[in-house]
Amino acid sequence: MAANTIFFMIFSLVAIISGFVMITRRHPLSAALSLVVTFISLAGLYGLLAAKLLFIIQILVYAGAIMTLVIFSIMLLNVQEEDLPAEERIIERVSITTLILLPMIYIIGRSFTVIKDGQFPEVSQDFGTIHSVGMFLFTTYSFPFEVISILLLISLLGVVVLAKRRI
Amino acid sequence: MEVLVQLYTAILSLIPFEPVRNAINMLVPTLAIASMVLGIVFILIWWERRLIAFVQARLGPNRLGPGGIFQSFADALKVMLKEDIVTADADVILFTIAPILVFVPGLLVYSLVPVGNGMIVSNVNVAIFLFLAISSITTLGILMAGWSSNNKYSLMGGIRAVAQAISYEIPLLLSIVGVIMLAGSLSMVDIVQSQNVWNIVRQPLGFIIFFICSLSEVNRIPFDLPEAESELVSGYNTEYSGFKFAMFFLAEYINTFTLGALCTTLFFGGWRFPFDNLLGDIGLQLTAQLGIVWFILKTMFFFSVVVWIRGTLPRVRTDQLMAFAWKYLLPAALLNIFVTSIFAAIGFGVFSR
Amino acid sequence: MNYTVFLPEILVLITASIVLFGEWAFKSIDNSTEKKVRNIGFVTLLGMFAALGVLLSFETTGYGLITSFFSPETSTFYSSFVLDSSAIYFKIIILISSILTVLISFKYVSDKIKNVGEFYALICMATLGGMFMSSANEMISMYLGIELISISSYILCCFNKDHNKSSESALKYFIVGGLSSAILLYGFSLLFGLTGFTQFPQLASTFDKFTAPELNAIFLIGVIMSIAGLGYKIAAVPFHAWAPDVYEGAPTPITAFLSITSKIAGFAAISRFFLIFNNSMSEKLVVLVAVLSVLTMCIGNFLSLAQKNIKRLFAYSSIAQAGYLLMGLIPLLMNRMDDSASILFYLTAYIFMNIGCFAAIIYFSKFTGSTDIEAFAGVAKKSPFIAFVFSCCLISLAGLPPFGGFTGKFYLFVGAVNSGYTWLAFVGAVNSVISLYYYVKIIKTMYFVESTKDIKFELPNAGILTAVILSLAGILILFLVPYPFIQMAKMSALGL
Repeated sequence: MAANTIFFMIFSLVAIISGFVMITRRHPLSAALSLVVTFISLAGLYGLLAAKLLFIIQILVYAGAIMTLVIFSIMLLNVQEEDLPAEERIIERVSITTLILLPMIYIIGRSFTVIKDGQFPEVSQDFGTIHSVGMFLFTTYSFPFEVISILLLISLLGVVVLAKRRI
Repeated sequence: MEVLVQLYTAILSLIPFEPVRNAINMLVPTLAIASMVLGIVFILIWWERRLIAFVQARLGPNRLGPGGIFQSFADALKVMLKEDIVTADADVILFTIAPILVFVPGLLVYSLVPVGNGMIVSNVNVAIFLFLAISSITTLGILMAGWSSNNKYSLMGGIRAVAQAISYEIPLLLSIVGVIMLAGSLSMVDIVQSQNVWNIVRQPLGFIIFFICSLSEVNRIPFDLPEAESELVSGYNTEYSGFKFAMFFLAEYINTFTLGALCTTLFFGGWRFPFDNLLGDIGLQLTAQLGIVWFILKTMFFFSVVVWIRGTLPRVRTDQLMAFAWKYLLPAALLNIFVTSIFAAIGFGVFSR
Repeated sequence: MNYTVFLPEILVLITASIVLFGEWAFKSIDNSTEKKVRNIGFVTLLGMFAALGVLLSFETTGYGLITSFFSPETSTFYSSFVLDSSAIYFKIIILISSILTVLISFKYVSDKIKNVGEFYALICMATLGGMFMSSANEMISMYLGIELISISSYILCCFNKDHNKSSESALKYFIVGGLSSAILLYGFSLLFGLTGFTQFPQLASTFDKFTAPELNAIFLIGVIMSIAGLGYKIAAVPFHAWAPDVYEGAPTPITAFLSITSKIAGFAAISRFFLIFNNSMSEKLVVLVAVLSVLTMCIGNFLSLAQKNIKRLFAYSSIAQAGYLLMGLIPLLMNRMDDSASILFYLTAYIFMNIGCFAAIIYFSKFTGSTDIEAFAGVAKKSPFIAFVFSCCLISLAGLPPFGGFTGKFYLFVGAVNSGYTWLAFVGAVNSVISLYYYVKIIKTMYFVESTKDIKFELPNAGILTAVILSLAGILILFLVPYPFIQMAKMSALGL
């Protein structure tokens, strides 16, 4: 077994287990911290795919910035165990969702068996480097890249409108 | 120094199996740099205490060994023998993980810093980004420490640390962009090699912003609000004792040393001897053979500047801290990027690549 | 790259920036909110009219004639953004509906809303999102267009900050919207993972390669998830649950905006998305769309019957209207472009009918102080003209002559019959009859129930009056002289 496969197993197992822990913990802080673990193991999977920049961005943005903010707000609110609302009929809900999702997962899993080598084009040599990502952002995807600036402006506007009391 | 590297390469080539060779090649530099950093930290602690004593016109530790240099080792021994107390209401798992999460990334980033000519554990081509990504994990550790202690001072310390870290991370990242533009690469080795003229000449504003922000990131005075003694007892590490406390303590010194190392690498020519390309053959030889010496000297200089600042400046207020980052540093960093990109594009003077 | 292609978008964006950053300049001397709102609203209208003018000139001079979906002259930004005749048509009706929304909002905004500049800027941004959606030729651009209009709408929904229901509606909208975005992205990611392309033309061309049934199934899952994500935008039935609460709580002009502009943008995106499918896939999708259409019509109409609050009623009514409109997608999937023009025509009529209703609701509820249907008792005597237009619009929504709603619905049904879905047209007709009940109930309350309270009505302001007159003119013209409009819609649909 190649080292890649072993690492893939480890990272995906950790990601799945911590994802499971995340949805089963009652306290939001434990959930958030397990989400951090999920993100970091996902970053590991990106690293295995040779997507270096994505690997770093995943850690820097998700684990480093976004999750820190999430945990920060959980702490600032200081949520206690008894403040949390009761979760009703959790077993029924989970089982219905599983029933819907299982066939889908089965189909997706099965489709991997029919994919032949060479059916999909190989990635280029500089895949995942900062240069190729930059080239993509400023050529093929320049339009979405520009639209995101408007989207960020709107979010900023929303924060000001909603959070500030009097302007 | 080059001799040392050659010797290492020669010994390595004697090992027959390639996987073993690769494993050793990964392990040895890592251990070497880790032990170097940990060794230096003991000296740093002593050096800071002596220097701050000098600033305050007193003596500082001077009994143990020549000039009191063994004081830190004695302190370390003491702290390891202390009882490890976990408070009754603490969240034990997080309480234990937190110091590790603060300590390990601080040590890990040294695998990305070139300490000498060719002396780098892994020359990643996106090293700066990776560096910042790894060090951003530290914040999570501080938050965990503050929360799991179940102590309001700890929690407030943790919250302050995070608010500060997030605010100052943005201008920090932006201030490096100028350097990256001039080097045309994110690799630390490339950045050092591109500095025929030190970046401090080309990026004075960038350096000032970078220095202030990293001072804040490592929670040193005047930005040490998360551990402000007069307000929060000791901040996020109030409940810690024994070896766990030692980890926080060491992490702080390692991070401060990292600050110096990064300043050196990004703005002061890294391991290069000053004006080595103008001095001809001697300069190049000095750079090649004694790179690690220049690197450590420069880094020690910045560490001393940090200590000097600690001895001189008072602590800022929280609102001043935030306003400073968002209202002044961020626009200044953006301005720096703007100006640098124009100069780099037209290749003006020292900005030509 | 041809920059004039997105001139309308740039104009709208500039308007938004002026309104947002220059709000301080619009203060009137006597510091009255009403005048300030009027000034800001006027600038917004000016910008939108300019964009509309540019689009109309595209329509008449050349661009409108370019009907090819893949033609490089009309696409910019590495073909992420495409301006074909259908995009122009969708953009024109999106702009018209936004203009009408702004027109009816003046009085409401100066009474209840504090951040005027932000309000109009966000309306501009949402309009921009709709315009991007109708031009998006690529998955990421389309997703960003949807996010643009959605996030603006979330914020717009809770502008009425003193009102708890407003915040509730925004929160519900946000959660459902976020979930739908996630589903949409998951669907898109499956499609991308399977083909390796995000551009729609390339996506369409690689589709033939997947002959294995497993891969075909994944493709279908991806498509269904994408439809689920887009279906929330138009409030089609399994994804409609947010509509009543959001419509009830949001400020009334925003309710109008959600029911018109948002819906048009959603249909623009769906029709653009459906074009990538070749015949073997579209056969399956036609059945899916037919089922969705029946569900949407029936559930929307049946739940409308029990509503007491007029904004909730319009939420369900707009769900039902989405059901009729989904019928128009069937000829589109079967590649019968002539008949798929009916969707464009009905959307045009739908703008005028709905805006007339909402103008009347804003006007009446200001004086009755409530949006319950009972509170509208006897308003016809106080304000006969507005009540008359309201009634006309309601009859038009029900699909009776002599109004544009009838013509539109007629073409939708004809399209379904021509595509071999006679039973669907029949269900649609039955549903129209059911809908007549609750539309007429409102008219009955206005005309024949005596008012218990004595409320004084002021004259409507210019904005509402203009909107009301325009909507009446619109539905009448679309009935009396539909031919030029149908011709235009057909021309545009050829570009689809």
